[in-house]
Amino acid sequence: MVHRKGFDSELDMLHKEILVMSSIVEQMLRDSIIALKDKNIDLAINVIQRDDLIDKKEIDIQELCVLIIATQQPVAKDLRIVTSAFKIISNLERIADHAVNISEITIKLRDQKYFKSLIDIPKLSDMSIELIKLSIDAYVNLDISNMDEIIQKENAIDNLFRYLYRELVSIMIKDPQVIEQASSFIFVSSYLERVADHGINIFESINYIVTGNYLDL
Amino acid sequence: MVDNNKFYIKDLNLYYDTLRALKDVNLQIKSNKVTAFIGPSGCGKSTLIRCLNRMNDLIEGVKINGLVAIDNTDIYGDIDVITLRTKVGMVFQKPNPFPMSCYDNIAYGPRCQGVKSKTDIDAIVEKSLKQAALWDEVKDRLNKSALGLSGGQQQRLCIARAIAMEPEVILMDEPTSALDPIATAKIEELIENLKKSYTIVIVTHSMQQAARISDNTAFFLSGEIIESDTTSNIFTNPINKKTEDYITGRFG
Repeated sequence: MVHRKGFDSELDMLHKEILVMSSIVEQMLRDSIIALKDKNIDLAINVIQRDDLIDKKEIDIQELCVLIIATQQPVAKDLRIVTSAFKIISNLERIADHAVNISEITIKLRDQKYFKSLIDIPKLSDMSIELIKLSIDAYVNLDISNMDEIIQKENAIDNLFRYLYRELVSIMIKDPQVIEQASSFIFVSSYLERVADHGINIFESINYIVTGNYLDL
Repeated sequence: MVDNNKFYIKDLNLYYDTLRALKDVNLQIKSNKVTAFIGPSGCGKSTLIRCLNRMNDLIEGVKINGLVAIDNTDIYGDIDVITLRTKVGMVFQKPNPFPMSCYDNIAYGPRCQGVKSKTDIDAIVEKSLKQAALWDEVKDRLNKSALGLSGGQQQRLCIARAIAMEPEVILMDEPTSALDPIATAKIEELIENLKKSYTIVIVTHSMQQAARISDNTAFFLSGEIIESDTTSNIFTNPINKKTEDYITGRFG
């Protein structure tokens, strides 16, 4: 068997870099919700600062992909790995942006007492993070056998988001005093729902790497 | 049979004495398309391309069975080989101009076919050289030896010589492997233009060349066609693991 050592080690590096980026993004999202829940302003600021790291990671990985294309001319599955990498990192970068958006809301609400304790938002966040983890698990071994679980998870997230939205709207109707805060929580829920959509996009890219076929979940 | 296939190959086997060089080859080659044959050395791709105009007939000990049909006519059946080779021109790996002038290289085939009028031959020479994208470079030196041309020019001259016979098919056996990247690019551009008028079959060792210029690709291994499909499918999502290994350079 002829091996392409240099090429394989570049693909390996690409794989590892994406895993590193995804773990940073996952932690940012987790921390953004902890900061919101605990009104931990330092942590919220820290999440915002980490966004620069993600932006740099995205560029570094893009450069690696471009280098691989220019020097190795990948085809077939190798090509699918490299082109999908562009999509995966761009979705990861968007997730990091949502963590930043949530942290900005935390900072905005810093002097306000929450009108209710946050239970469903952390739950929605946990579910979105689980979905991201499932997508990344699929990426680790390029194994898409957890597709059903991912679809179920996304449906559950959509349902919880709709429930949260209705609940927050009815609270606002009853008590217009909380409109600003409740609408901020609607934004947060909507960011978390978008995070799950990015997780689904990532999974679709992984499906393309594995099967060569496009999937629209 | 109404289809757009130029060649129809069915259950083709070829033996060099006892060596079975082609094994149950089945393939259809579409008209006015570029079909690339890829595969490692000794896999049978040149042997197959040479079957398409019966060049293998000249090799001692060759036995062929199965069907190769051009326009639904069995080329190993009741067909005149000279007529077949007029229809199916060939360009080889190394440019092989005749040791004569550029003009005479192109005029040679038509003259053999009985074209005598100087005006007619002049027209054929000019048209062929223009189609081969060589006219501007040689029009002022038509009567000088073709051996003085560069490698890339010589190869385009050989293509023009093939075109002069007004073939329907041009077979190219690694036509750019002896050329530099600029000459290669010119030949590739030429192939793109020629496919409007001709069916082209090309053997190439360059994966990127096959990917760039062909519409369909057949991958050969040990005398068998492992996979044949549109070039875009072969290079983005091949079905067979062996094809994937070969085109990604992990063959062995």
